[in-house]
Amino acid sequence: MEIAEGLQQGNRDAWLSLYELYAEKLWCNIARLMVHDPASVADVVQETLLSAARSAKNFDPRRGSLWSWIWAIAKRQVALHYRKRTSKAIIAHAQQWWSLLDGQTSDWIEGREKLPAEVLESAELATLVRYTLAELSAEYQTLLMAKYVDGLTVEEIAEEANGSSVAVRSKLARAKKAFRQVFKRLTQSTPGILEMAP
Amino acid sequence: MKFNKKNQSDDAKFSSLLSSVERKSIAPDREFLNKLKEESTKTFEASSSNGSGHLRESINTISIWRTIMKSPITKIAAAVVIVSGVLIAMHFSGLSTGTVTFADVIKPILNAQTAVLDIIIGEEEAGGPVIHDQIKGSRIRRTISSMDDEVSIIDLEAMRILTLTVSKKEAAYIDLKGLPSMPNYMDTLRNIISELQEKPDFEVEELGTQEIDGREAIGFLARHPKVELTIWADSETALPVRLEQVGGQMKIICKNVKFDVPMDESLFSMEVPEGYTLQEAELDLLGATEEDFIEGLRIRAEVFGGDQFPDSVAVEDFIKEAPSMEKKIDELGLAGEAEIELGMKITRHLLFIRFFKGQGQWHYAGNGVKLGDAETAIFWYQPEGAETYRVIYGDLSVRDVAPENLPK
Repeated sequence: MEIAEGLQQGNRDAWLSLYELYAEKLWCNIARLMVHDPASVADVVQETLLSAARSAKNFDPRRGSLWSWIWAIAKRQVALHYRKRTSKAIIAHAQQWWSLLDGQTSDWIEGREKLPAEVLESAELATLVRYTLAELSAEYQTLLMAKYVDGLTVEEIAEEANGSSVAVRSKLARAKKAFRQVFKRLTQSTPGILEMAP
Repeated sequence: MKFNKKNQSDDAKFSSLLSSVERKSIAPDREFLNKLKEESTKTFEASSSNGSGHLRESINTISIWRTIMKSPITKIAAAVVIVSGVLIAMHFSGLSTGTVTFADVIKPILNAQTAVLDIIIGEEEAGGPVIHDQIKGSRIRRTISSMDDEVSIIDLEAMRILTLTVSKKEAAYIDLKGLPSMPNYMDTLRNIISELQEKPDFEVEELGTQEIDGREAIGFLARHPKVELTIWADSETALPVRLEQVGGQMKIICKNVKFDVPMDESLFSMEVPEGYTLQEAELDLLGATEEDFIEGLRIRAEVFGGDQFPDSVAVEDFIKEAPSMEKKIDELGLAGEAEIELGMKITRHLLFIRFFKGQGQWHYAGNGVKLGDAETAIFWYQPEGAETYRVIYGDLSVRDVAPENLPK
């Protein structure tokens, strides 16, 4: 709350506190959504933080936490990056790779079967997961990454978001469902013709 | 117990799937982040010291739009166009070479104290209404050719609009609070120009020369991920004379552009003029939904279309129709509250399209279709994150339809 008030008052220390708190976390989460290209990650992090700096005075804590606000900006910047720079060949290659896999791919995604280690290790799977995440809402992205990549508990996520554990559980279930739906749509599309619009 | 174990197992599998994004993940570049700390702090301080210098966040964050108004239809149309129009020309920039450079063309925008321009939403040849704007600082005085009885003064700093109905001497304030920050008009242009000029890869294409309004003009096409902007500037003076902006399903044309035209302060006063009565009715427009859109379709067919759906649901076409719709409302002789309720429903219907949140584009095919026709699809769109499309039929039923089964 102190940071929020400081931002609204144009307080430099408030901005620096926000920066200390979130700059690295922002970098890590943006990097998770992007292909292996440090320059692009840096570009998106920069656009996000400069955009946040320009609009920080208007931050309204009643609309959500600082992190959800800054991540919503990041999500838009990632989406812009995808539209502008990402080669369709990368996703087409990953789609084709998935379609040629020997196994119950649908069961893997539905969680009925474990994904084989060699699939989990592949760069193509990472690409498909990144594209899928990039299509979800900022809230779902945050929840899924906090729970399943950072390993936070539901209670920790609820505390960070100033919400209840019940609400977080419910949203997580919806986020997982949305992820699976988008992943299936992505992997069932004809390789090469998919228009991503994250 | 079994249920918990199943959940844990599912979570573990899901976690292993999602954690694939950590593979070869790029660790934070601390040196870069330290430099960015300085730069972003300067940006924060500069923005904070200039209350009107904020860029718009995103129209997608709109959740609440509270307005205060009466006499709904024309004011609604005015309000919708106002909200559309103030966001105009948001994406200038780029660099170029030649006799007149892109830098020359944007210079007047950077330095102008005032501006006067005409705005057309949609194709110019369609004969749509012309919005005439006089701009001074954070205020805009706006008139619309199809609503010559209405004048609006927009205060972007206070996020408020004063609308005046000249013949009835009525005034109303429309409160834009709840919308994302809408900056001072000229500051917006300046911010965007400065920002984009720093991007070396921003694309600008020279279009050569063309005669515009009897003058030779040189054109530049600036491409942005969300919008394409064409600027035509006088070949001799480098002053912009025409701008064309295409983004999503909306085209906006700015013409007859003039900078630094002397204008009296009183034209931009937010005070209710002497002799005017201030209207006080309130509309609460909390997030327009698909149901709101459908209800608007029903009203437009039943009340205004003789049981036939409108030719178009585009905002610019609604604006054209607004005066005849208001006439129809007068003929119906609705009581005040019923008139306001009708206006509120129409507004929500329009906002669904104006701030469309689905994936890709919406499609309308209701032209000539009768209300009650259960076989003909009149509108379809894909909600964000959905695999299927929502298809609305002529009987206003809605079905989820796979992309391959959409109407041709």
